[in-house]
Amino acid sequence: MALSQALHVGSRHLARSLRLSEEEEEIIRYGLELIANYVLSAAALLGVALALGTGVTTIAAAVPAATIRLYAGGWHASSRRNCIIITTVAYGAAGWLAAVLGARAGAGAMAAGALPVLGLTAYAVWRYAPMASPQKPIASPSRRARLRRCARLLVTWWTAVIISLLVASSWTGTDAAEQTSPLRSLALGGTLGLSVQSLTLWPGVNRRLATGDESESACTLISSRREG
Amino acid sequence: MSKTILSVIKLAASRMARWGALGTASSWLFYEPKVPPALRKDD
Repeated sequence: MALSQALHVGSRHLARSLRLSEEEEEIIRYGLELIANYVLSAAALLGVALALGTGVTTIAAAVPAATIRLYAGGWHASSRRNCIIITTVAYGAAGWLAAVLGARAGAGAMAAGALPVLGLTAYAVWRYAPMASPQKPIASPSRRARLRRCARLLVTWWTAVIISLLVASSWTGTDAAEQTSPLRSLALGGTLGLSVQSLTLWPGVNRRLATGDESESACTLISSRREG
Repeated sequence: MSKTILSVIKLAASRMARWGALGTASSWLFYEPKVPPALRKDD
């Protein structure tokens, strides 16, 4: 709430100083809100990842998922606070798991686990993207087609990158080197990040997440009213 | 704050708003601020 007020005050100040119209002020406020959300979420995620010592694998999980999400869309939380928590927990956990499991699993086990997940991710993007949010409906068919094309291209690109990493990690030579291949952790990070993003595209999962988020928001509202 | 800095902030916010509203399907995060009606007209 405090951040929304600060953004409102900031955009009002900009509008007055630069003599902007009301319409332009709304656009500026929306732009500032996007920038603030990106900066806050990235800071929270990187802070947790660095504290856990899993910065690289967390970035490996977040970047492919985030780039695909820009064009594929998916489920959204009902508030900025929930969003920051979910982003940090989901990609933080993916990065941590990738660091822990990537250092232990062999090439065969990793491929057996990652390839079906990559297949399901590609299917979800191919089948359901772009999924618009109620806050940002997609009215134009040409825009929808362009977003679908970008989402499909990106999922193909990231799948190819991850498979290349898995193949390269199996060429590391000795057993000892194979056990600690950093490429495998990166590939697992990317796979887990993509699976988190693709889950939000499946209609069934989407409905369940929306129900959970709304009940949580309602509980927060009731408890804040009681406290007030 | 000087006009130049304010203009730079305005330009960045405006570009981000237009790209966010029309260039993408969604924010990369799990939260989507409401797109202002002025930008929906371009869709």
